[in-house]
Amino acid sequence: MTSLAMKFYAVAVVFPIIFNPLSSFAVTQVVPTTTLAAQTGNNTSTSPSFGGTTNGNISGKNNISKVSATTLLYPGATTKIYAHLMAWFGGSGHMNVGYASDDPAQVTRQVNDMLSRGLSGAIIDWYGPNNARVNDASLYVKQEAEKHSNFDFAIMEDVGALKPCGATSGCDVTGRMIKDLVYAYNTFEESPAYMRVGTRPVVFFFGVDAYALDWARVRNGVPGNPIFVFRNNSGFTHSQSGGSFSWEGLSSDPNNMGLGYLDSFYSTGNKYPSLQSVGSSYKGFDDSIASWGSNRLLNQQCGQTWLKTMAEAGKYFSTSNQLDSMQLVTWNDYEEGTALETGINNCVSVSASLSGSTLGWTLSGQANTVDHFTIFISLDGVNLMRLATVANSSRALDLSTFSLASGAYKFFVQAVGKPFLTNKMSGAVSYSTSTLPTTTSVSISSPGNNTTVSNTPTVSGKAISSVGNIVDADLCGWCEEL
Amino acid sequence: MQIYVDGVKSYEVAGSSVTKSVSVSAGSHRITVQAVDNAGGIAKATINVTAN
Repeated sequence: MTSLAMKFYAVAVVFPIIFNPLSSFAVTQVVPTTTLAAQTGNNTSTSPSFGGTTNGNISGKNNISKVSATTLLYPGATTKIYAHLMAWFGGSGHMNVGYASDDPAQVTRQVNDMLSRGLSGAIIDWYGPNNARVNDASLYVKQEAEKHSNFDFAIMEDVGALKPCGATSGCDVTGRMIKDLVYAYNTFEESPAYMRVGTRPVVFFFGVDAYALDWARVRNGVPGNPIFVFRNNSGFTHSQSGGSFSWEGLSSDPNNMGLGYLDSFYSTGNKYPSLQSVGSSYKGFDDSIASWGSNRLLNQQCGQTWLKTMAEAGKYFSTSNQLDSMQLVTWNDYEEGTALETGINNCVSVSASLSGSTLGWTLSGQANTVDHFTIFISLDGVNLMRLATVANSSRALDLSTFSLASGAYKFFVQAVGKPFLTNKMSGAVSYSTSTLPTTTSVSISSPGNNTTVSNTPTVSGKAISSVGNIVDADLCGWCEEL
Repeated sequence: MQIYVDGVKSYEVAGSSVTKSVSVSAGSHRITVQAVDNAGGIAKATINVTAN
């Protein structure tokens, strides 16, 4: 393939081609399909009133890539990606993020947002049936999941569900756990949208080993034969284990992405092929604003932590040894600075300019955080139409290759981020076809200029075009001398 | 391509070259050869001739 052919292969033209019935050639008509506001404003389930936090959660005013998160996994991955969902917002125990977790409309927004980013479901941090807000939100997630054949959910029993019992003298914590799981089975796990492996529902546990639980009793006390999934390497050998999940690899070095932690987890998981391995990925960690925080920090590095932790599973899994699932840590733990709901700032900016008929652009920031570029055309700078999708290695587009009707246009270049990363839009670049440099020239070889001729002179002329194609005359019946 | 005599289309043909006899009356005339490319670009060349 020639370089020229490769160049065109890398450009997907997305504009509507209209054939003027009176005439001529294929003409690009600008039919707006979106707006500048839609392409630069909040397109997530983040509350638009959320102003961002000092621990790395960007505001609810950003536009986030909706490229599927699955594209960040190894080639051929069948791994399902789940968001870890906190359902505790809206009360006094947690910060105000602009929404209540038990607002069904918010749950709908969150599920739709997760789906739009290529996720397969949500794992809910659950505090048992006695925490009304979290439990109600979980019921809404169940209802919403049941509307979508490609979205499922699971519950993760959090140690917080056991704390009231654990703090009560004489309370049977194992019994409390059993009651919670019986409720979970009857309430959630019989849903067709509940996460299953084969026919068995999957239940996760977080931190519950703070209490000395009788797991054999738990197993015998709950219906449905659920698969129990615990945390970290030790989860694979935990009593009653059906698998384990990784979380975040934190250390004293804020630039250590915790890849060693993930490596250890994945290599351990590979030793237990009959158990579920649930990997993890995260943007960073900063609990400096959490009431329970201890100033643990893992820097986001403008999206690099996210990209690297998503890619790490590829070192251990492949089409012949699939990672069962991946959990995103987390969808919305704003207080620990791990919220992916807002998206991740890739710290990129894009600047566009025009040189002749070539639209060019430059990118500042780390180019590996950009998936591709989308070129928009507009008549008014407000209403936009996608003109082309261009590979992330390209920095120019020849506008003369588009049959634009005479007129004034504005172009925008959007750097579309890798999944979950911010999209960035250039400023408008004005372009008028009347300023189009001449790409075609015509010469007359005979008769000569200012000569005397017969009444039937033979006129000979030819055209040379850098564009390459002269329009067929039979398609140009409308043509007049212009 | 198109040939115009005094601004009126006299002939058109597909392709990037044209050779054609056209009829003109005695006197001065303006002959234009015009091409349109598929990017919407329009190019032309014009000569002046005198027919006797």
